[in-house]
Amino acid sequence: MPAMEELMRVFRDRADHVTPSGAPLVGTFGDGLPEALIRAAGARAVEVKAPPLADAASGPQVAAVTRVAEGFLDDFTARFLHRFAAGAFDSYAMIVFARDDVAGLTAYQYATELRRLGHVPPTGPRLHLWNLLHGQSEAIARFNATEAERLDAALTEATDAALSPDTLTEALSREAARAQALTRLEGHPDLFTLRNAGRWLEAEAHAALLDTVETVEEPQTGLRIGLIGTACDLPLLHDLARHFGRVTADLTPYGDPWPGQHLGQSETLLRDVAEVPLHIRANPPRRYGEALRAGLASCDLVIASPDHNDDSFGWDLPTLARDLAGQGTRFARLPLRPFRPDAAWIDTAHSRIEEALA
Amino acid sequence: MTMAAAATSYQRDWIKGLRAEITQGAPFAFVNADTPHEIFHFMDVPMVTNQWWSAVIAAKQQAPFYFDWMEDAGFHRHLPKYSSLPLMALLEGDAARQPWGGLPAPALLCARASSDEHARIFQLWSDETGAPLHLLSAPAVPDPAPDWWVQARSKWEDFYGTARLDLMVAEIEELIGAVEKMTGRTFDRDAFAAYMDRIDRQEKILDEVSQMIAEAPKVPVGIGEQMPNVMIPQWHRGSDWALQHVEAFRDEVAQRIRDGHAACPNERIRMMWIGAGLWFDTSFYKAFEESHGATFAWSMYLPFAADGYIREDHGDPLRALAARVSAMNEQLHQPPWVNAWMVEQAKRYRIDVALLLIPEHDRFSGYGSLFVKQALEAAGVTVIEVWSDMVDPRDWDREAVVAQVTEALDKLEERT
Repeated sequence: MPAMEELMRVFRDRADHVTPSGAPLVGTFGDGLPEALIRAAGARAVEVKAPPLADAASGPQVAAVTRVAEGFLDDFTARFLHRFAAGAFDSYAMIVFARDDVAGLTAYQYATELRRLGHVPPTGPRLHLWNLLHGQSEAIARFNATEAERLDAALTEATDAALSPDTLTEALSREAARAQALTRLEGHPDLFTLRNAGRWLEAEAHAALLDTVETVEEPQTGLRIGLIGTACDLPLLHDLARHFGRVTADLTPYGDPWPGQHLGQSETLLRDVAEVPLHIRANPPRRYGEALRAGLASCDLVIASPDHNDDSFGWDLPTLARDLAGQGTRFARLPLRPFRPDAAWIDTAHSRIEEALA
Repeated sequence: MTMAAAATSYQRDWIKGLRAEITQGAPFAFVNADTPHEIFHFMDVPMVTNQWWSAVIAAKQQAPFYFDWMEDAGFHRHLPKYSSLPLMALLEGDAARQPWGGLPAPALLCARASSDEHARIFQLWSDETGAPLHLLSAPAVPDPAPDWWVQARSKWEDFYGTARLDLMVAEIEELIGAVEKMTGRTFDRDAFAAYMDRIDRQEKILDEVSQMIAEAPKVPVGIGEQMPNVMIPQWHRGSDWALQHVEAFRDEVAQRIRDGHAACPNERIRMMWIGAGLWFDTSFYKAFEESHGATFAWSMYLPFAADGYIREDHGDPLRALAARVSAMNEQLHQPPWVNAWMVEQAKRYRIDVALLLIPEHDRFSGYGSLFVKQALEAAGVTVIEVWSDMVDPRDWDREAVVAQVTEALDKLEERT
C-alpha cells in the first residue's frame, strides 16, 4: 500500500489499526508522557484518547457508562469510556492517563471507578495516572522524578521489561528520526493527518512511511494563519483555513507541538517536557500566554476554536483578541465546537472567518 | 439574634473594617477556598475567599448583570461561573456597584490548580491588579481509597502520598516566604503549631455539632442557618472570634435539641443538599417544609469542617496543613471520594431524599454527579437532579424545580 494511503488509513482507524503482536501495548490518554519512555520499557505506545473516525457512527454505547457520563463530560473521555467498557483495550498491558490533559484525569477516575464498582470487568489493562507537573521549580522537578519512578515500576510490572538509560537513549533517537522526517514535509497540505497518524505507529515505522511521501508544498502566498483552541483530532480547522490562506502555526493540542514536545536527552527528558510552555495546563498560565503570542507573532489571521466543554481556553480569548487587534492581526472566533461538527457548524465557522476578514 | 445572624453581621463589619485597614495601606490576600488560609490568618494578613465573595455577590442578586457583562466582554457562556463572578466584578470596574463597595486591589493572590479554570482566573486577577500570583500544584492521588474521611484524619501521610505532601510543603514554604516579605514579619513555627491546634479544636466542635444534628429526633437547625454558622468561622478559622462563635453555635444547637425545637415542626422527610449553596435563592431550602414536612438537614459545609479539616499534626503542623489542603476540593467532587462520602453522610443523617446540584458549566463541580446519584439510590435514597448553577440564576426556573421536587416527595409519601 502506498505510504500516503497507509498513513491516511492509520489516521482513520487509529487504535483499531493496532493489533497485538510482539511488544506489549500501552495506551496513552493525553499528551505529557513521552512515548520514548514506553518504548524504552519494551512496549509500544498507542494513543487511546482520539477514537477511530468510524466510532462517531458505529461506536459502542455501554449502558454502565451512559448511566454515569454527564452530558457535559468531555467527549474524548466519554468515547474512551464506552470503548474501554466494550473491551476495545482488553489486549493492552496498561493505559497511562496524563493528568495534564484536560480530559485525562476524568477519564482515569471514571474508568477506575467503573472497574471498582464492578460495572466493567476487572480484567483488562492496568490503569495508571501520570501526574507530570509543568513548571520550573526544584520541588516540581523532584515530584516529577518520583512520578517517573512510579511509572517505571508500573511499566516493568505490566510489560516484564525494565527501562534503562540505554534503551531510553535509543528510543529517543528513533523519536528524533521521526521528527526529522516530519520536518521534510513542512508545508504539506495534509501534514496534520500525516503527523498525527504517528500516534498509532511506532516511531521508526512512522518515519519510514513519511520518508516515502512526496513533498507537496502549498503556495507560499495568501494569509499566514495561526490556529489555536482546544483539542481537535480532525483536520477540520486546516480544511477551513485552506480557503483563506496557509496555516503557519497550529498551536492546538493535536497541532504542531507533538511529537516535538516529547523530545530531549535521556538525562533531562522529563525536565524538558515539564518546561514546555505551550501547554494549556502549563504552570503558571502566563508562560502559556507568552508562548502562544510568540507562536502567533508572524500570523496575519488567527482562528480560535474552543470546544463546547471548554473551561480553560476561553479565559484567554478576550485579552488575546485585544492584543492581536492591537498589532493588526485579524482574529476569528469560531462558535463553540461540537465533538464531530456538522455541515451547519462548518458553514457558520466559515462565515465567522469571512467576517473577521471583512 | 441567632448565631447565624451574628456570624453574618460579624463578616459584614469585618469587610468594612478591612476596607478601612487597606485604605491605610495594609495588604490583603485574595485566595481560593482550597488554599492554605492558615498561613494568611497566622501572619495577620487579611484575606478574602473567592468563593465566599462570589456567594455574596450572588446573594445580592447581582450575578445576572455580571454574567451578561462577561459574555459582552468576550468570555463564552459555558465557562465556569462560581469562581469567576468576583473576577467579572473586578473587570467590570465599578466597585460601587458591588456589595459593600467592593474589594480593593489585593496585594497577593493564591489558588490551587485543582481545576482547569482556577489558574487562569487568578492569572487574570494578577494581570488586572498587578498582584503576584502563587499557584499551588494539584497532582491527583493516583489510587484513592474511597473512605477518605476515615483515613485522612490521622493516616494522611500514606493516604495522600509522601511525594505529593513534600511538594505541597515546599510550595507552602514558598508562600510563607512571600508573606514574610510582604509583611516584614517572621513566620514563628512554634506559635504556628499552637494556632493549628486551635483550628483542630474549632473543627472538632463543629464535628460535635454535626453529630448532634444528625442524631437529633428532628433537625434543630436547617442548612440555611448552618451555612453562615460554619463557613464564616471557617473563613476566620483559628481566631478567637471563630472559636467563640462555634462554641456558641454548638450551645445554641444543644439548647434547641433540649427544648425540642425543630426547624420544621412537622418534619417527616429529611433531605440533603449536595453541592455548593444555591446562593441566589437560599429561601429555596425552606420551600418544602410546609407542604411536605421536608427539611434540609444536610449540606456539605458542616460535616466537611470536620472530615475535610481535622488532620492530626504528628509533630509537623505544616505537613498536616499540606495534608488538609492537598486534596481539599477533590474530596468533594471526585469519584470514588464524593460518592462514598455522600452515602456515609446520608446514612449518618438518616436522609430520605437528596437534591443533587449539577452545574453543567462548572464541570469540575459537576463531574462525578451521576456516580453520586447511583450510589445514593443503591443506598435507598431518592435522588433528584437539580440542573443549575450555584451563582448564576439566569437559567434557574424555581417553579419548575419546585414542581419536580414536589412530584418526587408526593411519590415518596405515597410509598410510606
